[in-house]
Amino acid sequence: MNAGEEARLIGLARGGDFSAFGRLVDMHQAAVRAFLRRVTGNYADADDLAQEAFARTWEVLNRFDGTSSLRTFICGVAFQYWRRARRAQSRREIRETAYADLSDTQTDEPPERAAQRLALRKAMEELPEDQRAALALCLGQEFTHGEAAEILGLPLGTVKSHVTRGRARLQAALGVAGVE
Amino acid sequence: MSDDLDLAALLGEAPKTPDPGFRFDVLARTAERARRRHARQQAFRTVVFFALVGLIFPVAHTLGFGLPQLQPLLLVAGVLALAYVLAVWTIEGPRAVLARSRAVLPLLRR
Repeated sequence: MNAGEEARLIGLARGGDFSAFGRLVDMHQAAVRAFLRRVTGNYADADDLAQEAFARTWEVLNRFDGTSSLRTFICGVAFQYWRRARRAQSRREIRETAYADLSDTQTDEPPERAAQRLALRKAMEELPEDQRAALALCLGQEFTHGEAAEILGLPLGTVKSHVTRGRARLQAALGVAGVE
Repeated sequence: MSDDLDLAALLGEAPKTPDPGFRFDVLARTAERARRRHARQQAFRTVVFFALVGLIFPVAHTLGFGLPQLQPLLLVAGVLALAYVLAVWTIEGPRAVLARSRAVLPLLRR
């Protein structure tokens, strides 16, 4: 879908058109859900936060000025929701959920891949918030460094350094998992 | 395993195609939030309205107006309020007389 069509849908959604907003949800749900899945490590929590972020976007769509893409705008909202939710949860709860989620959803994958996944999640949980979010945005190549900087409200150089350092830590975690 | 995409896939994959169930949940949540916001605004308006009505008498008393002087004003306000309630009830109420009569109009034109 081109930018003109997206702008038309945004205009309709601002006027209260639910079906236009539904099409915008379809256009951007993959990127937003992927970001939140990587950052939370839990698909159910991620989708819950993504739904909240989209619902909030509907309320604040009039604030979207078009200087960035709508996808960036929604991810900015999602990032704020994730940060708020994370502060409300204890670290221990997150880890327990990650283990439970892993055992529930990844039973058909090889054990070594499951171990890698677990090691990565643990490594992600130990990263600072901004670094974790920068990695979640940029690793899957859904977002450029510039877009990630906009979403996180950080300078471009900081985001690049977060991604480089975070990637190194994740790779180190995978190395440890391989030894085990 | 150093590939960024592989790391990303291990951390959590994007849904392959747009999920209609997700869209439905988003729209349901959006509608629910809108309903709650509307209810909050209505409750706020009701509270403000009754607070203002309650303030009329002490303010009037402070300004030196008694009930005899206020009576015509209160009578007009009461009639207007009653007319408003009746109009809202006619349009949106449980029987919605006006809405039903409008629905019948196209049938009468045939």
